[in-house]
Amino acid sequence: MGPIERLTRLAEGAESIVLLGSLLGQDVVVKVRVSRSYRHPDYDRVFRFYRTKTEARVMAELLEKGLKVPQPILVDMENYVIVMTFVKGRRLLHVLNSYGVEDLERIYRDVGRQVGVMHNSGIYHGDLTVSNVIVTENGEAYIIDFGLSGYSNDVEEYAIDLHLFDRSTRNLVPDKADRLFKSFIEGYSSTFPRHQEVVERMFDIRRRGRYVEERLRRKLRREAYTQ
Amino acid sequence: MGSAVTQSMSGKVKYRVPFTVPLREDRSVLVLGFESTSHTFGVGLVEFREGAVTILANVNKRYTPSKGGIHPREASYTHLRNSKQALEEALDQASVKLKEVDAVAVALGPGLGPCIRVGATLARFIASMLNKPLVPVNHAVAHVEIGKLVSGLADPVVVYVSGGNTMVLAGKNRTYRVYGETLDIPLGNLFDTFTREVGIAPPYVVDGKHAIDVCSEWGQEFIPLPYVVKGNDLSFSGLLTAALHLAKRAGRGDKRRLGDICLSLRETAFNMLVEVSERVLLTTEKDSVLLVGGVASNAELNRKFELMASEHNAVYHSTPPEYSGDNGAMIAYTGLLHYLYGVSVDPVKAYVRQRWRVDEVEVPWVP
Repeated sequence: MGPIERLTRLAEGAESIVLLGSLLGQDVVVKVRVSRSYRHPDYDRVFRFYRTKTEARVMAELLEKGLKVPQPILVDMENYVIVMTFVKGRRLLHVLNSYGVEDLERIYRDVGRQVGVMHNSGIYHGDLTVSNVIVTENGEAYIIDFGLSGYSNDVEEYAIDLHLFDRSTRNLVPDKADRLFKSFIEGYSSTFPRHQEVVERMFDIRRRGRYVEERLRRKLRREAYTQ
Repeated sequence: MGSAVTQSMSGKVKYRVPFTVPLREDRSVLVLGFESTSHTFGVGLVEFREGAVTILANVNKRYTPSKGGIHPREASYTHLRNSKQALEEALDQASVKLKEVDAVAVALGPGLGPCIRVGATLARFIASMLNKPLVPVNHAVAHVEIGKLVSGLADPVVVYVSGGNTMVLAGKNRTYRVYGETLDIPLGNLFDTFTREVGIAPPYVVDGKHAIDVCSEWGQEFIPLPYVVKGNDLSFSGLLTAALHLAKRAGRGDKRRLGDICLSLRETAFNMLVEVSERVLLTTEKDSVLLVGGVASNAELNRKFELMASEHNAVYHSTPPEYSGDNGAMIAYTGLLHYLYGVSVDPVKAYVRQRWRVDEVEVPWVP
């Protein structure tokens, strides 16, 4: 990694190390997919190759659609490295408690709109949580970390994205979650024609046994969201 | 682990509770516990004295299906037949009388309704007869607590894997939060179903070794199979279908190929679980990992977890077989903890809860 300067460690994930550096004066993120000794050696290579390739492809494709995602600059398929632009801001996770509800509603509507465009392109995120949305200083929402993303036309995958996003919100701000999810769906339905099908599937997922008591306890009803 | 354990005069092992509990040093408490949520009918007797816990008895009778999987009704009949003897053996082993018991704990869920009812009925009866508190225990919480007690870990990331559960938990705000779990079938169920369908089980476990591990030894080559991780959640059903499909194409005669499939199935499933656990370890910033549940005795899974934990300088502990599978002692011990915090239920209202989720239980001893 010759031309990248001033590398510092930004984060360490389960399968990658994320570094912050500088390339020709621009701040960049370097995502290195590391080898893991617990994986079968053949599998280790297949796994890192596949995840790196998909992540870079998805980001490039979403940029073309005009979404706010990091821009891949360099992809090294031999060392499983992606260099991308750095999005300066705070994770949605960290602003949920400090921002007013109106600001959050606007952000959720925007994230919903972007996720709708993404799903409409046959792409799912795979790890859509409040940790993976960055809110910039001027209030723009960027979706990051496409490490678990992929291509699929299956409504199930889209529904999982919605489910994860709602659940991660609900875990942190249970009292605002209903309003925020409603805003998300407003944005989502404006860009994705199959939105109703996805929302219905999301509730189906929650009815698959393990969420039954949770649903009964919170008296969640489908109508609260779909109307 | 060393500091948590001392050997007492009677030869029974004493464990120090890895956190503080509200009991005066000069008092002692004896709790009887019943486990019958699935294939095991277990009776445990646990004593708390001078800040340490002694497991006085842990008697477990297992139902093993002659063919197929667990038949809930058949399992419950087996439990009924075994219950009296198991209780007598436990009292005998502990050399205590039933009337000396301070509280009766029972696993009221999650699990198979007909099976849970056997333990619940017996526990309600004994508690009413003795006029002692009846303590409801969540089976999943019990797995976690016994693992923490035996390992001496106070606040680990807990990976709970068994025939009926696959989840990654960590303590937060007086509950065990579920950070990741299976979206469809559990890991143990995946292995059981696969080995059954290809004709190498039951018996699923012989000499502590699962049929999938035996089969994996026949193979060498890794075949890519669906790897489904969604956020921190896992999905094994597509993996099962894909593996079964490959096995069907290979035919029953090809042992080497079946071995390759077993190896790849196990490898993929374990990698998924370890990856998710690794992510939870990093996000929760805990310093230890604990493996509990029936699958905790799997050597290959332990090896992978050990490697993963050491890469993050985290301590790793598994749970020994007598406490990792379903057992009565874990219910008695968890009942004891709840009892110390004043939890009990009127026997008339001690309902069975087949889908009682672990994150619904308040565990005041968790920071």
